[in-house]
Amino acid sequence: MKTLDLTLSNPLRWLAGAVILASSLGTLAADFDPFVGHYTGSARVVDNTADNTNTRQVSVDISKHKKGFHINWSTTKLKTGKSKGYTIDFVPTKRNHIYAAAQKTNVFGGKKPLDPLQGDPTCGPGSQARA
Amino acid sequence: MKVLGLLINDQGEFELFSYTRTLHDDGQTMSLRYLHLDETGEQRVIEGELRRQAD
Repeated sequence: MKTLDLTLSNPLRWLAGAVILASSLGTLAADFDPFVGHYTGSARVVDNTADNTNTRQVSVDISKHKKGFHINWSTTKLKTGKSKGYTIDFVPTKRNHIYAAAQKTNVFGGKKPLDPLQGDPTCGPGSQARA
Repeated sequence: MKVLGLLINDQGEFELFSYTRTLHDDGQTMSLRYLHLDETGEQRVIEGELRRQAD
């Protein structure tokens, strides 16, 4: 079974990502605030076996940046020792509690999400460069 | 917090995934559930639990 690779060198390009925050906070604090922090732990593939070889160490960092937030996470498979890490910035959208993965840079150097409905390419930045 | 994503290539192969992160124990524990599905219908679920670390 192939593993998901969010890096842009993967033939499957990052198309869209959105974060939906379901927490109902009645304060002015950003709704992702409770999640900000550094976490470590483990995760495993859920299947019908008692096999623990699919266990992996997980480390997640969630931090604020400007109006949105930044998620940095890494996983290490205990069986093989292989590690992977991902970093994605999320920025607010027009809809409350929904943030989009920032994938392109505006004229001021800020990151913005791609919007296919507004004519942005429907594939990731690699395809945009080819266009 | 739920992260939804779609990966697609020029051949139309795609992968859909979601990460659901939920806080417990006054924010000291975060459970993780990852669901992955591709165009063949093959799906995979990963679950985990993480502890908040001191800054």
